[in-house]
Amino acid sequence: MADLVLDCRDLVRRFDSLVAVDGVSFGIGPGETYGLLGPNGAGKTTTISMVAGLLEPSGGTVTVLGQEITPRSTTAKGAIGLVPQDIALYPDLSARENLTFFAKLQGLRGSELATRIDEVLDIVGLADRAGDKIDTYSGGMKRRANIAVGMVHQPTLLILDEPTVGVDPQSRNAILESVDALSTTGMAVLYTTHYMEEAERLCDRIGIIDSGKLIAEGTREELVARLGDSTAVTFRADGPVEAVRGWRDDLSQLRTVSTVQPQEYGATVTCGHASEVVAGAFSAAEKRGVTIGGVDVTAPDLEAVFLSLTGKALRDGS
Amino acid sequence: MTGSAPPKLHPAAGGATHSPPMLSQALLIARLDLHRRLRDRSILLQVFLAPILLAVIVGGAFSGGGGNLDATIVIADADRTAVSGAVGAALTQTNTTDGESGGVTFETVPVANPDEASALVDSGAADAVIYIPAGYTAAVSEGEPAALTVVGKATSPIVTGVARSVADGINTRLRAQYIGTETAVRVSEQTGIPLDSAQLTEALNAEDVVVVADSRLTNTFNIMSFFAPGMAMIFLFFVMGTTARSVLTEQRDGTLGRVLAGPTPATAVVLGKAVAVYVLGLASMLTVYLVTTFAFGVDWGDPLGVVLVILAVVAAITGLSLIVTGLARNEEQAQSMTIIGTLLLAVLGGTFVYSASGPLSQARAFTPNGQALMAFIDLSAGQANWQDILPRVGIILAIGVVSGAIGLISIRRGLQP
Repeated sequence: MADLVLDCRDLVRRFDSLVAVDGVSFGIGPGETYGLLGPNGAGKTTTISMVAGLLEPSGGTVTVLGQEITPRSTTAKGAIGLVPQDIALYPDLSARENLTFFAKLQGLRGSELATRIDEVLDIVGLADRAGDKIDTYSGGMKRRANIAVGMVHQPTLLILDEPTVGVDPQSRNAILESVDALSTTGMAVLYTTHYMEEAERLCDRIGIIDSGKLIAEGTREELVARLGDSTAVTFRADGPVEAVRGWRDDLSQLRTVSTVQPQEYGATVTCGHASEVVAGAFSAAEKRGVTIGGVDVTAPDLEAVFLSLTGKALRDGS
Repeated sequence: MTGSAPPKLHPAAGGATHSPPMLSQALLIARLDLHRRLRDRSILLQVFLAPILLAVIVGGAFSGGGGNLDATIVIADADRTAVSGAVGAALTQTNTTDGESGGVTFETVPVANPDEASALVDSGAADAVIYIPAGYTAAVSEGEPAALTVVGKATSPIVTGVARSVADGINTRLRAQYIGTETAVRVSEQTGIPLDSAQLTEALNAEDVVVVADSRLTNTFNIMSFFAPGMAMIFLFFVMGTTARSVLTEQRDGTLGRVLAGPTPATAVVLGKAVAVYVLGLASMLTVYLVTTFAFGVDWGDPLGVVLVILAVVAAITGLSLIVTGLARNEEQAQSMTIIGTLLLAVLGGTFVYSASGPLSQARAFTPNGQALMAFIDLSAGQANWQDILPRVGIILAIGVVSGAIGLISIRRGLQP
């Protein structure tokens, strides 16, 4: 594991009696994009706070390029670029002024400084608004400026904490494009998200985290393969509350069904034989007086993997 | 984000090759802090304009519009020696003779006891009295404890302050003179070189033992010499809370966490904020000094001494600002602590009532602004030059260093991104 850029071993973080991160271990190699996927409150931000040296681990170690990272290891932290979940910029300064300040703190000077600032402004598409104050930017532009600051000093490890939260689709796509482009530079990227499609699109490997524990890890294909031949089937159902509840219980009794996740209007099941389950679901619905208004059958994805592993949906964390 | 082919980063990503030195990072943080604050017009008002305006308004109100001090200080001489007579003569020679009104007028009145001296103030014959007790000269010449007593009116704090300053000057210089003379006698005894007795007598009785023969005590002692530094220091106290507010705001906005996530130690952040406060405080005090000097003709005294006191007192306030930063957990707390600290320091330091007596007077010596005010009064009354106020500067700096160290330790413990 000597060639790992980031190596986290048995990370633990306690807040009084609450164990926010519980024995998390993973590593990221050069040029690799690693996704930490989990619902809100799963422990993603606490994990990256320890990785970025902002939080002292209660147990375990974080090393970047072989150097241990703690809140006091200032030199080693120069290899890390952090893009926090919330916008962390000076709103009364322009994007260029923000970039200049943070780049200088990292030790960039002279022509290298000017070149890097121009490059990252170009990458995030803010070159033409570089002189405007941050508080005049739209939410998406602020997000992009936030990312630019994180990578202005060409970190070996770039940490992005849910960079697309609250962003309009256009800006979101632009952000994903720029992160995608980083993979060609040799930069290792740690990307946390609760959007399954982002993890699928960007990440070489994905770690699924829930309740502070890393419950699965691998490439998308490896994770989906865990489900075997499972398929996710979503039913839109309508009827008396008690009838629908009973119908969901019936679904869980059907052969090859592994999980049943209640939805607002129906349920999503993971199962081995979709056609058999669909037929059984209609039959059960008829007996219960429930009307099925639609059926979606989807190939196994990370959402289904998460559902299968935790019994709950990724987005709402319920 | 500029299209389908985004520009590439450098092929060998790896971060900056080296972290800048901590001092360099601290100066960067200070520069940014100052840059942002100077864009904020309320800071400009608070730090520069308000102290000058308030000093002018309050000074004008207290002086009846003229601004100059008009008072009589009586030298009540119960000692009645050649030396005490010389002191009185030296001071009365500073009175104006050109018929101009205003300024401090000195008179010498022989008295028998302290009660007679106090009666001069009570009757209105004097605004303040410097009482030279019987046996004073003998005690000084023997190196024994001896003190001049100042009697003043509670309603005339400035005059009392000036009288106290003059008395301190007399005491200090007389002692220096006698120590010098005694040394000369001993040297003469040991070396066998005869000492000219006439010269010795002349030295002891010389009028320059009291160096107040200076125009500062006549028409140019402006009441604003007291109020201008006092007001400037009050606004300096308000600056005290800005370090805390700056750190807490950055904590809330996430920029502090971002700075600390890089190769920047917490100490550099605190130092940077402290440097910014120091520069701001210094600019504020110097502005008041220069504007009142050149626009209003206020004589603060020896410029080098004034600058030294300003440098020291701003350092002390900066140190205190670090304690507030270390203690405050939110902006409301920082605000409250600043207001309480400002009032406490202003009252204890004598900013409002310089001539306070008793415990309040003793407390002044333990406050940086009190020490600074005493130094400013001494300087503006012509009773001290830059060398004389060095002990006070030392005390002020010591307060700054101790409070700064305490603040730094508490901030480093509590600084969380």
